[in-house]
Amino acid sequence: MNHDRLEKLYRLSLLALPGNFRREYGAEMVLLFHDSYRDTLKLEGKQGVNKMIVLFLADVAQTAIKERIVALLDTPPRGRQPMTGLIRGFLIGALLGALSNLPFNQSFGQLLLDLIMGGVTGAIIGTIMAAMNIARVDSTTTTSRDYQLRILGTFFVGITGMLAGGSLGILTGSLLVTCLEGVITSAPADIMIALSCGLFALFTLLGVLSGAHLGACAGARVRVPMRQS
Amino acid sequence: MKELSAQNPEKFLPLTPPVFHILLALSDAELHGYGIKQEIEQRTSGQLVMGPGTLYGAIKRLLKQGLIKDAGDRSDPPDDERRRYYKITPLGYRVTQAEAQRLALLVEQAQAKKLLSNRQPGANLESAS
Repeated sequence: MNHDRLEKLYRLSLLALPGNFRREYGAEMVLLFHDSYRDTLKLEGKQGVNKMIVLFLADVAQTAIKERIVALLDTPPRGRQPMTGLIRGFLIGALLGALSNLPFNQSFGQLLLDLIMGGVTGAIIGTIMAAMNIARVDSTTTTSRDYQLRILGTFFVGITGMLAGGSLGILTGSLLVTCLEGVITSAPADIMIALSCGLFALFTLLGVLSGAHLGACAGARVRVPMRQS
Repeated sequence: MKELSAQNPEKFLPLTPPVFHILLALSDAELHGYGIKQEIEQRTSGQLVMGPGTLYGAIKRLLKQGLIKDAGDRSDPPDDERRRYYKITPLGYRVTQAEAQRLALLVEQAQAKKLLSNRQPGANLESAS
């Protein structure tokens, strides 16, 4: 691959980074890539460039994980009002829940149970995140009502994030199980059941965790009016 | 809030190797990102190779902690691209000194235990086993 294509690939990989970090340092990272490419090609040839690309892409992946965790733990209080986030999250959750239920003929009770379980887990994670966020609030300029509002806002957004994520997980799991059943026809029934259950559980869990992340992020961004006590 | 320059450097210790190397690189010169990377690679004979993400992640944290600061954009030959330069702050300088002293003390202790000698690295391990 030539320089332009490799630079495009590198620019594309930068999309994995959190938006703020990318906006602040993305251009400089591309410039550094450009400089490194020029010097590596001069000193080590194409083989050196290949090694450099692998190292740089691995570095982006590592940085993306690290910076996303940092962003999650260190999000300043800003963004939408709690009620807007709550309503929007609930509508998305309900829509995804309905979509996942329709094609696979799940019972309403089963879906409701999944959503409640996801919601409870999300609420717990959301509350933990709220507590972590509150630890950063300056106690001299914040009233106890602000704390309560922040906890409540994060709690509700956490729940809705989990509902949305859980539903998406159920949908993906169900789709994969259906595909698997179509592809593997000769396997014993008990193996198929075990595989299906495993996939379903895995994707539900992944969905629930992504939802928790989403909810916690949104919750941490809930704007709470700060007043002098 | 306490002034940044009045902060105790000890509270920033120990520094991670990338952070210490970035501060070392900036201790006697204002450099841009690639300049820092090159300086570190030359000084460590290529033993520490830092990717752009690791470098700018560390720079972001150092800026936030007030250990380095933005020295402005300027053009850099031969390609005349505008680059952001960074420089160390007085607090950053004191933190670097404190970390160097901490490491020197560790080396002294290793010498006292006869772990450092002119022999090849790992020779002590072989004789011990």
